[in-house]
Amino acid sequence: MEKRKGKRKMILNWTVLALIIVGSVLLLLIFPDKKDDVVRVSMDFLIEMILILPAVMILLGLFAVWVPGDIVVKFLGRASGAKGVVLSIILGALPTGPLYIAFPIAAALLRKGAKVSNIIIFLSAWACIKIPQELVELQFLGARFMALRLVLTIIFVIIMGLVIEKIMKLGGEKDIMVTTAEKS
Amino acid sequence: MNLTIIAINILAVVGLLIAFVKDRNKTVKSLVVAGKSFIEILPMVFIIVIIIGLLLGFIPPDEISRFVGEQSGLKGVLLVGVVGAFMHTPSLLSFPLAASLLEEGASVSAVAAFITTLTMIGMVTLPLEIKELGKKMALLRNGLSFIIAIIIALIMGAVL
Repeated sequence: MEKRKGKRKMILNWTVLALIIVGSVLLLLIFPDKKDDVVRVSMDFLIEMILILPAVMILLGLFAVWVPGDIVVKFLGRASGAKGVVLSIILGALPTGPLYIAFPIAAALLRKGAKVSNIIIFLSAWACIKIPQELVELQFLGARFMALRLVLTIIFVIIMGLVIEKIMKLGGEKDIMVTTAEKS
Repeated sequence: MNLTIIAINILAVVGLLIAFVKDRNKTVKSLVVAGKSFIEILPMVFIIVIIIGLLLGFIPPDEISRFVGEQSGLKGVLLVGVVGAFMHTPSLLSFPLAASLLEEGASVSAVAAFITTLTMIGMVTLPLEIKELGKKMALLRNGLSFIIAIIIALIMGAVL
């Protein structure tokens, strides 16, 4: 089922692309004086991305195969304190796929009794502290922007993890248990 | 060619070589995964590249900066933050898009908010997240992520 869903999404993406191409060709026929600018800018960005994306994909592929979810679960399952925080960031930052792949891993961690703060930090690191992602950010937005955003993100993500853990505890452990029971 | 492009390609090649020496089968499997994700992301790459071209070619910088520039203030930052939260594009592609917005007069805060909400918040994948982690945790994570994204964006705007 997952496969068919992927296929449908592919068809949708290519259809959208076709529509956009048709639309922009029409637009450029109406405004021929804009053509040079649009084509030049698009080509510049396309070349930059074609030079960088295959390498990013290879790194993602390598880590997806070499660091499967169960290794993450094994490491993070009982880590706590500062060590847990650091481990969550590092394991989350390893380059492995889009965020929705991390949800089942996080659910497995929850079931294993990992700390809520670590799970949140892990998910956030997965979402926006990915190593190849940082390199692409460096390429397009520069070192100062990338470094500052990285540092701020790490700080606030840790704070967010601790806050969410406190709130979850206030509500009692019941919620977590219920969802865990439903899962298994 | 610049340094970042060279560095990331060297990293990939070295990674592949090490992997190949360690385990040939796993390396081939990794390459298959890489190839598949590349093909998967390809139409999105073209879409984003064309949109950037049209954006820079057609919309004058003062129009963009009116909505998301310095003078748009907090409203502009919140607006782009919400757009980022709902967009379902691979995070890798948010960077060229953000760079083109910056070039067109968007403020640093707006661009930082856009990238941060786009990567951290997934309104489209929220149902899946709720199913896996429970309603409370999923909503808390997405809600607080939005707040910290705006805080990060405002600090970045002040510093840079």
